[in-house]
Amino acid sequence: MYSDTAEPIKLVFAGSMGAGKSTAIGSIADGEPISTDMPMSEGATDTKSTTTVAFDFATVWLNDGTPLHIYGMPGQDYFSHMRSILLQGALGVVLVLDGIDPDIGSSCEAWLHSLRENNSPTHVVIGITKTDMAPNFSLAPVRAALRRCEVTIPVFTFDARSTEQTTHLVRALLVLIG
Amino acid sequence: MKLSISVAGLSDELRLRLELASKLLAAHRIRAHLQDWDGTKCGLVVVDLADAYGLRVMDLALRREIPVYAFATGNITVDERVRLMPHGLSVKPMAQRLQELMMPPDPVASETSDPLLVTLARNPAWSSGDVAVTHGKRRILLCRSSSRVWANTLSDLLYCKDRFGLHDWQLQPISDPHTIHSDEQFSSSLDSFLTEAALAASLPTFMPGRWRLTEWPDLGAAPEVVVSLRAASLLLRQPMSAIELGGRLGIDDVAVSACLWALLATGLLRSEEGAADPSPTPVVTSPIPAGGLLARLARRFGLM
Repeated sequence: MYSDTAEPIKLVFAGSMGAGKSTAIGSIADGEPISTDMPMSEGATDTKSTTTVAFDFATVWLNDGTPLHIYGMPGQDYFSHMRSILLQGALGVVLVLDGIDPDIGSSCEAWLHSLRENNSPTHVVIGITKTDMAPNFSLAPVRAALRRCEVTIPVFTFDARSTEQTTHLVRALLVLIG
Repeated sequence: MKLSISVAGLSDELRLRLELASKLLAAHRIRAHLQDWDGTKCGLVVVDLADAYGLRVMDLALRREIPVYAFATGNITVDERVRLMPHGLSVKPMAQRLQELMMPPDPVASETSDPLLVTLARNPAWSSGDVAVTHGKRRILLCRSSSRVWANTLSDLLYCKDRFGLHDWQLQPISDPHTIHSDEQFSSSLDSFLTEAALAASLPTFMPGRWRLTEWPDLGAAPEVVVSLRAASLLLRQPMSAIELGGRLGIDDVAVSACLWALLATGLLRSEEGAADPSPTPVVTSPIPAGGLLARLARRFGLM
């Protein structure tokens, strides 16, 4: 059970580059997120030409005026040293996976291991984006990866642009914590 | 319907016959496309067992669970999943063999007066595996193997979602969803779809006994149905009866039954054999304690 604390409340969005973390954060943030996006040196596409190089930051205000800080971890391995710093003291993690990734099961497993190595909080939910762009998308590889990791956590497909669907992922996290 | 056929080890003459046979499938609205095996996903692999490369490709295809047709002469023992065709097979029967692969068994009308959702949840013939369901001219594919629902159009999906409380559906098992959904353009989360379909349907009271979820259902595309999220959380922690679950969630029998029928139809809900009878006096509790940080977060994100 999470207890009240004087520390700022922190929620972290993790996941691969291009999965949609920044978009998801933007969809639930109160106000424009602060981003450290830079033009991509390689691998740019028509729909993604920048990538997060430090972290995204946004605030959601609770009804009593308490701020919930939301951080987006950079997806590239080059910035992996940032992970343990951002995860420290976090309420939970929303792991965002790319539905187009043909090896999404392995990516899921790798991220769960990475979160564990970086002292991630126990509570993790997984959101999978872009399933509408993956003609043969299947949830089976992700569920198989969770069984291999011996964890039972929510895995939701969602549209990162949708405030309601991203909010629903956060609700799942809160239900886990509660 | 599209069928992509990869071939390996066929002689020019055999390949020509196969090509002609595949063109005949157009009469059945199947657009077949032949190509040399390149290791990528396809709907069917055709090989000649007299060729060493063909044998190798057959093994690879079987490992990837791709259907395989093989030309062979004489009594040859192969994996039971391989369908054999004699080398001398002419074009027309060859086309019939290909058509058999593409055309699943005829749809079966639902034999009970149960709503479709209940049939899918508890009828042993339809409560597991992938199923195509048809109402009038609208068909959707419910793929439990991938937790996806497929339709030709979003309109078909919405039409069908509103009619899961009816019984006049036709059902048909799907053996290879990769082959059959090649024409379906629109897909969505099966678990969310069933959750929303259950709410729109008039369903009987859920079955007695205690029930437990084995995995989280994919509820991401049903953000309006917060109660299912809370129900899933509780059913993952411990087995519960419908009465207990309703008590814990503070919802009525109709809502809890809808929630449980949907979860059972996803294939993720299991009966807990030998569990104790449901508690007659359930206590209404909120999953989030009132007051405190969690309660404030829950209020902000619409959980309370």
